Amino acid sequence: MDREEREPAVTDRTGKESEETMTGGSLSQGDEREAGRLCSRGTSCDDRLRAIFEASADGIALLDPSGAIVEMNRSACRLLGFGSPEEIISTSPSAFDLVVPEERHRVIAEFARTVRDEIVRGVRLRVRRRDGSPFEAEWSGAVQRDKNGRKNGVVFVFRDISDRARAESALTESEETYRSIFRSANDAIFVHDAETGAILDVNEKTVELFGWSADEILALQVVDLSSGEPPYTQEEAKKKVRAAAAGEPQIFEWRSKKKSGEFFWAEVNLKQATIRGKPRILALVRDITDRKRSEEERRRTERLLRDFMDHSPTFFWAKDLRGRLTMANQAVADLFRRSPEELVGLTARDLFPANSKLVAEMEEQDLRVVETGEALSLEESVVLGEAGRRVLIWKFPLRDAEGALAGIGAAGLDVTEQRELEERLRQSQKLEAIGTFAGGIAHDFNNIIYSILGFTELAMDHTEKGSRPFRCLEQVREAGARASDLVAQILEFSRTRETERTPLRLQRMIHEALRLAEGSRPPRVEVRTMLDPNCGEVLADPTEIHQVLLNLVANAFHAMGERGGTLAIRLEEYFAGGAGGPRGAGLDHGSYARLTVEDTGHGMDPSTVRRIFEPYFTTKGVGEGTGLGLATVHGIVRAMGGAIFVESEIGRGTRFDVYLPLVSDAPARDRETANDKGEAERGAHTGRG
Amino acid sequence: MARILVVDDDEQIRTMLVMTLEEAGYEADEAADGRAAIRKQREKPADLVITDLIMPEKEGLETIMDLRKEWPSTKIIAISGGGRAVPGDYLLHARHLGAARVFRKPIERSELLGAVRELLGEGASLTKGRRSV
Repeated sequence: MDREEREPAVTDRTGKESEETMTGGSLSQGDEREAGRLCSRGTSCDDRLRAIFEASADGIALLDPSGAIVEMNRSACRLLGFGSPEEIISTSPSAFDLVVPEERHRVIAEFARTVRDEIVRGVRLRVRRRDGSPFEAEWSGAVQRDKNGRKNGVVFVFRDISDRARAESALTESEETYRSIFRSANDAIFVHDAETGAILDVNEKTVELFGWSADEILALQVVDLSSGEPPYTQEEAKKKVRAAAAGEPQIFEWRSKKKSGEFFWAEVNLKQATIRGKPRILALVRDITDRKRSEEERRRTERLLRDFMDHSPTFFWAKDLRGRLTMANQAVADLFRRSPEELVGLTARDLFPANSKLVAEMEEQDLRVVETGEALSLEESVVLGEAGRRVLIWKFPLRDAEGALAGIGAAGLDVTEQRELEERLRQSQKLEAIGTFAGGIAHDFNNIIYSILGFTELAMDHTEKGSRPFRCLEQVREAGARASDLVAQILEFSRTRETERTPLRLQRMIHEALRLAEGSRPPRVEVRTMLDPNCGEVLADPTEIHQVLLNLVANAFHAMGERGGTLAIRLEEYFAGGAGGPRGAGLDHGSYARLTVEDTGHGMDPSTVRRIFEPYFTTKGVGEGTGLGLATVHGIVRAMGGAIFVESEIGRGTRFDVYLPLVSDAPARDRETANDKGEAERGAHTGRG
Repeated sequence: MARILVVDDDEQIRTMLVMTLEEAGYEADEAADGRAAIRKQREKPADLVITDLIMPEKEGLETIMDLRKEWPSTKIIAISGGGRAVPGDYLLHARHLGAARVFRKPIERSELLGAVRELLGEGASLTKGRRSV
């Protein structure tokens, strides 16, 4: 644009200058010819010059002051694509015709400059070959004078520099490309001196990111752009630069500092580079504040989830579509006595190798979730070792970000204790009902029995002693007496008999009971007592305590029988600190005497243990027991505000724990009756109905 | 001859007790509840009343109270079948209200007759076999 605007002026000026020169020079056409042959004929041109002229690889042209070609060497002909100088001269008499039209004005200007300045060097312009193709030429020119010192022509030496020009242009282009990448990069880029670590150059993004101007940054050290707290120090930065200089690319996170003093996290990538022949370190610095924040957020969320999962008593686990665990929380891990990590990759088959039925069920459930894509809730029994656990399980499909099925998630609640408690409550309610019933009919029974007994005696009065009718009536009376005893026992169980309670030391009662039971002790049974002499008194009816002790001892003796074993009786104080009592069934808050009667007899299976306190439930043969012993014990203990627990294992023995409130803590009578609801919740073996 | 009134809603018990007492040589009458007992007592007061505690119409404890009020010299023996319907406290209450003896059914004949003799001042060894409640 600029150039075109100026073209006419240049042309004018050139014309003027040429005119001036010519005015000054005033060469005729004939003189020009003569001047053109100066070399060949003139005194100043010898054979050596002519040889140089012809041998030169560069093109040499002799022009007259108007730009017309006077003479050219062979190289010039070759470069321009002509066969001989004559051919050139006949085709393009003016040398100006040899350049591309766009540069015509420039060549005229340069020609004029040469004439004016005597000599010019290294001028570049585009020249046209005979076939019209252009090439980049570099030329130098010098003014030619005649013997009078008048300018009479110009000698031009030129060469084809297309290759060099191409290379130069490619270099410029690539430098420009790099420069533009450098400038427009979205990362801040520092150029460091590989040895000193000094900052030599930075791009626009650096200015934008750090808030300093480029000049300010060049005067700073890395530490000025860092938090400065270890390890984000100058020394550390130098270390990294040195490592990068040694050829190990460095990628690390760096606590960086802006001009405002604000810190931010950056990811720095250090690379060794050679720039204009010098070893440099390029530092690409990227602001990762957002990434860091979202990473932290993700970690926080994960941590939160993990904490919830690991502290929840609920089992959580997930499987992939091939049934392998991908996740399990601490509760699951505890169940299998492994770490959550150890469980990953395992299948149901690995976890329950001995229970193929359970495994098949689980696989079937998983399949159902996969096929329907819907959640599933079920209760299943998981058998682990000897203790079976009942677990309420929810299974649901897990989907990936695209919504495709990715696995199965599950949550499980261990309801073993809950189910046991429910079972105990049912038992307790059953006992309660039996007690109510028994107590209700006892009154009527007593009337009936009394009538039977009374009339029998009246009849016997009128019967001859020893006669057959008399003996029959004796049997009736005997049967009536037995019926009467039975009712008395039922009443004992239902606790309606009035008792006389006094503070008692159980230690003495235990010894008395053992003396009484000594007669029924099987020969190979050993009795051991461990009675804490400091155990306090309980408020009790001595007859009742005897009944409790004798029943428990008699049962123990019976369980061990001829096989023998050890009967251990322990007495100690026990403090129930609130909701938690033994085996989860809450005793009221307070101090208790704990009486433990433990045998090494044949033990009982769980179903027997469950029913052991039921009236008329007995494991003994006909005639060996009434089935009311433990029911009575249970009734007595409940009435005292205590509790009785039983634990038993087949072949290993049975243990009864009786908790009786100590005198200072003995529950008030009104509480016993007012607290019906609480007692129902306490389960089968506690409370009073 | 001492006169004894048996009060019980159970007819068989009444009959049995009346027969037992008659055979032991007493004049015995019977009433099915407290109200009937008071009526009989007004017609012809008894020296001793043996009363059940749980009865329709007029309840045993109430009957004892009324008897003690109107016939302070009449002796009272309270008997009860026990059971849930008759808490043990009832017999204690009966005792406090003035029943000279209380028994839980069934009652040994000898015990009952012993108590009767004692209360009627017939001077037998009365402490033997007493069942204190």
